[in-house]
Amino acid sequence: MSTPGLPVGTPETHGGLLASTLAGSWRRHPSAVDIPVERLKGIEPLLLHSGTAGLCWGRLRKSPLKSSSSAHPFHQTYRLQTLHAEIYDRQIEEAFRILRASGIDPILGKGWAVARHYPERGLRPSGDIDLYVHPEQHAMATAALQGSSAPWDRVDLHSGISHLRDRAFGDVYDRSQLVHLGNTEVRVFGPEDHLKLLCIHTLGHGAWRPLWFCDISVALESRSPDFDWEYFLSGAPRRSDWAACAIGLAHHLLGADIDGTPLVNRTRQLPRWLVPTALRQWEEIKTPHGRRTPMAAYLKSPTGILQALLLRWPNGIEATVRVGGPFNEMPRLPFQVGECVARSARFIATLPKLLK
Amino acid sequence: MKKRIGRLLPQAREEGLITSELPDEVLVLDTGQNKAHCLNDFASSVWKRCDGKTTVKEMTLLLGRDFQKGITEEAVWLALDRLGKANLLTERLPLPGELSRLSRREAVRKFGLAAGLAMVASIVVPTEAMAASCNITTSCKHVCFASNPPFPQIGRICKSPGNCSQISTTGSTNCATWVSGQPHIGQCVPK
Repeated sequence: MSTPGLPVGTPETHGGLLASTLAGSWRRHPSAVDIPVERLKGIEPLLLHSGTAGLCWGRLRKSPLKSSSSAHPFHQTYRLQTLHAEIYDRQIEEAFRILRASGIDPILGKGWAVARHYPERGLRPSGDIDLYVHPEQHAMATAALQGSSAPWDRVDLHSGISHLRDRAFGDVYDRSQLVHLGNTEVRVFGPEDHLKLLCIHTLGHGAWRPLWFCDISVALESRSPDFDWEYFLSGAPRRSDWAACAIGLAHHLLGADIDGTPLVNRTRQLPRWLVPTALRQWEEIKTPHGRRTPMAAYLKSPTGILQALLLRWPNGIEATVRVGGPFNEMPRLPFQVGECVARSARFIATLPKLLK
Repeated sequence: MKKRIGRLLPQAREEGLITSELPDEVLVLDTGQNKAHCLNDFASSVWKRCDGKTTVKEMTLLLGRDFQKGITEEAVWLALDRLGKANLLTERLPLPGELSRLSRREAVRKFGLAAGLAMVASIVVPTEAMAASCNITTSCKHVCFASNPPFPQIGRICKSPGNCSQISTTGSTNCATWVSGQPHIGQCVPK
């Protein structure tokens, strides 16, 4: 693959600086980060909060800043992530053992499934263990995990594969692969399905974490020569276009190499609002979706409800995906309003149950 | 006393420790104490030699051979002292003779330990990074939940246990449906 171009994120803004700091950080031999200490200090909270501190260390250690006190938190994060990965691997093995003992063979996605493509485990934080099972097996899988002695809060057990809802579970399972993890083999998505899942997941969460774009980049660049682009782009055309746009964003923001892909043209024609929206999102240390206090909590104590509503205002990317819209040059406001209305309607529908 | 110390057989702790070897250091996570340490090359070499069968004198000779330079017994003792303080040995050993009366800096100066200076550093990570990388066996033990507004964000790390009305030992970073006031505050309600 040829050397990718520089990302377009301008280092004048924090978002742009974040992008240039993380550009190529997933590669085996990333270049040294070239950033003045005071500017690094400025984006330190963003890097730490977004789970990209380890990746930042991967580039910092090649720079004169390596021994500076400014680099210390990044180095420490890298070290701790290395240790966490050891625990994480054991937990994944154990989860597979328990589920297989119940006759369920789950598919592992995101997390370890993408972390394995990074050159070092300390670069990426170990998050949840995302396991995908057939909807008919979900209840049994939940019972199997809950019946074990280990705490399984960390397992995010998915019923079906919502991010690949235009594909049959069986087809995705047939394309999945067994890969070695410690003393066992775990089942991961086929590379095409996984890349698509990573792309749609990232956009569905409003491109909130730059880490997810590093994941897309590493999955893209570690693909084998027989990667089936035709299959990747098959299914609902709009969803395939979203995936193409996510890869386009990874290219523009972080310099992901798109040479040899059929996405070059789409990448050149991304909507003008897309890259700035992602960069703006990166600049906000905003509560990620999984950590928001549920709106139901405000029924009894309305203090802070305004802030909670503001936290729920979707950016253009999230809104577009959530309402199933296209990525084009149209203004995003209608999608944002539509998404809020739809979410409010869903919340109102659950009110009678919550108020009981 | 001197003779007795000379016969001590340092032994590395194994139970409850998770280790990871990097090119120039060894990382150790003490799952029981929820502490992580970073051992430099010399400290990790000493630690690996702590098999419960090798005396400090023998260890010094072996390490000198490994490093292909003169390693002093004092350097090994100081390394053992550091490892003991970090609770990485089954038993903390008393420093012998003059060493026990000197500060670390004085000992380094007096015995010229530049060739073998053990570093055992704690790994402390900013809370923001932990919120992004929460782990059940480490940081999630310190995830703070309160039953009254303002609600701390799930996954946020407590500055001190005193700030918490409840500390969850089974916290999750993905408690999308957690509802304050429910019986198990801080526990994840299944989706």
